[in-house]
Amino acid sequence: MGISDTIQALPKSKEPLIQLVRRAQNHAPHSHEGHIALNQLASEILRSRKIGRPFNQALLSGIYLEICDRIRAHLLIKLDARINTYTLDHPPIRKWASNLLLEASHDSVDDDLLKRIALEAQHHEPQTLERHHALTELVEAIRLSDRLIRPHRSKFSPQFYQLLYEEAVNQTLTYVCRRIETYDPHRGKSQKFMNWVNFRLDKVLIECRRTFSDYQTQELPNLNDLEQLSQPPEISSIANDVREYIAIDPEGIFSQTHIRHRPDASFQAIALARFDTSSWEEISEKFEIKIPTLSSFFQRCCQKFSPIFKDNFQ
Amino acid sequence: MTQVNPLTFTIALTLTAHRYAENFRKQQINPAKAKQVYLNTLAVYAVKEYLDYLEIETDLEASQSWNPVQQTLLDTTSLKLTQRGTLECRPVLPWGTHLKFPPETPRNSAAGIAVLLDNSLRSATLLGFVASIPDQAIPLNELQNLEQLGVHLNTLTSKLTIHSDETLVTQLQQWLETDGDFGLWKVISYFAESFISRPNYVFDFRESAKTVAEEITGVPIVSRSKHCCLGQEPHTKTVELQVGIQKISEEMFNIYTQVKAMKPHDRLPENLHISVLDHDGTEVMHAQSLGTEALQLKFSTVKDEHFQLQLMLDGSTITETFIS
Repeated sequence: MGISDTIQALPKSKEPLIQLVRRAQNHAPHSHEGHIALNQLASEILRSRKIGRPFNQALLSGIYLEICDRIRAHLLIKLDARINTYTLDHPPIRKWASNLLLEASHDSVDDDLLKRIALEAQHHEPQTLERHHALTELVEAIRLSDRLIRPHRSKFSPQFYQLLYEEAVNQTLTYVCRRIETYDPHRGKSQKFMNWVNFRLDKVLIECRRTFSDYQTQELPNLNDLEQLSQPPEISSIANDVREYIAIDPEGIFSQTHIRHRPDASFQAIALARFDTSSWEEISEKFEIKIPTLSSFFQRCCQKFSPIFKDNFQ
Repeated sequence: MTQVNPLTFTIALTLTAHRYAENFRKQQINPAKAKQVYLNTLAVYAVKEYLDYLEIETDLEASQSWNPVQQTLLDTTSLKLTQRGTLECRPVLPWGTHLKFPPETPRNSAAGIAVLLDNSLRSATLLGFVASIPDQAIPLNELQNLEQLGVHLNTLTSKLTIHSDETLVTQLQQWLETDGDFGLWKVISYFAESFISRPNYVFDFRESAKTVAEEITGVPIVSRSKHCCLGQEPHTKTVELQVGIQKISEEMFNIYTQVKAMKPHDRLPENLHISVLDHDGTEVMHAQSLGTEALQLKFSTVKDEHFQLQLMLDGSTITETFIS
């Protein structure tokens, strides 16, 4: 599920993939022109790859070049096998291409490659751009590789396991990045990189189970659900406390801090207007003060008063 | 073979992210605000996770977006980086086409990141970023490549402020009384005509007094200009700051300010901001260059009034203090 799925498909005249697919389909499979056409198609599809990307806009080199070459090789094999059975729009071309890319990427990543990306990361100082690049590639490669274990699955309902598992994977990947120094390629009998990762994943999953046991029966809301969630009664809300505090204004600061030459446009007045769900446009109209002046003043006040709020509410 | 599309990075929104979001959401009464807080929290957490992979330190507890009181008062998505200021992490909904920042977004954030949330709210995709906070909405296909975020953050060691000496206040009355240069302020004569004939931004310093200082002709605008060097090494830019004072009465003055690109450039850098601050340091006026030739602000002041002009670009700030 990637951005290519969420962005509208380009009109046919503009979608470069279509031309390239047509051209490849128009040539005899193993002809010279066919071969060129497939390579061009592969290049276009490879633009969306998540791994084997050039470092900092430079030329592809080193391990990233190798990864890209591998993916290209796998991609060409798949294209060769499937190009002539693909009918435009079934599935939509971008989906077809991105599936192929996913498969090719998956096929390219083995434990040895993962290990070498990890070592590449270790090779660079923390916080350097080279290290950032290597770690991003490592995270994506692990995710694409399908080599993360799925331990303890039978102990949980499928839905809950899914939630727990994703959480555990996230935490494991963070651990891999932040503790990459601790990875020792010479340790362990089989010396597989993924053993180090999966060992951690197993531990983390068990910890997560303890932390999140209250979610066993709960579901996470989606975008639509958010509209319907009930709000707590007014009494317990911090929003109400803040509003009251600003309205009462025990020290007088909120009403006395105002926009220059406008004692009516005080922090208090603006805050209360916003609590009444007035938009910036409405407040601007009411005070006849431009939005940037209002919002910038308000924002600075919020920062300035933050310690006061902290003392009273946290 | 090296041609790649801009990188997007997908993070699973898992139990931790939702737990935080729910805890914050529960504290709001207003349903729209509650939803806003939920989505903002998810977006900020997604960026935090990404930065974890890059070993960039963040401090959630100290972030404005993680503070329920601030959440109540503002549409806040500020994530504090331990070393480099703040990032704005704006949620973009599945049908969104633009990256927008609410008016109350602090303008000195290091960058703004677009976080696309899907309908299920189970995944967030970082689409790209903007190197400074714009006033207008940015189309999603005009964002900077996420892969350059590290580069951008590296060029901001901290919020660099090059102050003119705080005690160095430019006395504009002296400009009226004496000819000649004042320190780095060089006399210019071409300012008046070019400004009056094409005023781009015209504000009244005193928003309350509806008396917009009139375009008074015949009274000279005494102007001088100074070169200002902004931005971070090695990408610094020099612009020309022109200031003119025009006496309307014994007590009132018009102040004209223009920031112009300098040769060989004929346009200002896009993310250049200029602000006018009053004596409390409160910003009363602001404009941003959108790649225009010049930025112009006009306002009126009274005698002995203190004000400051602040120019900002890529995390560097130059502040000039004046008394009119």
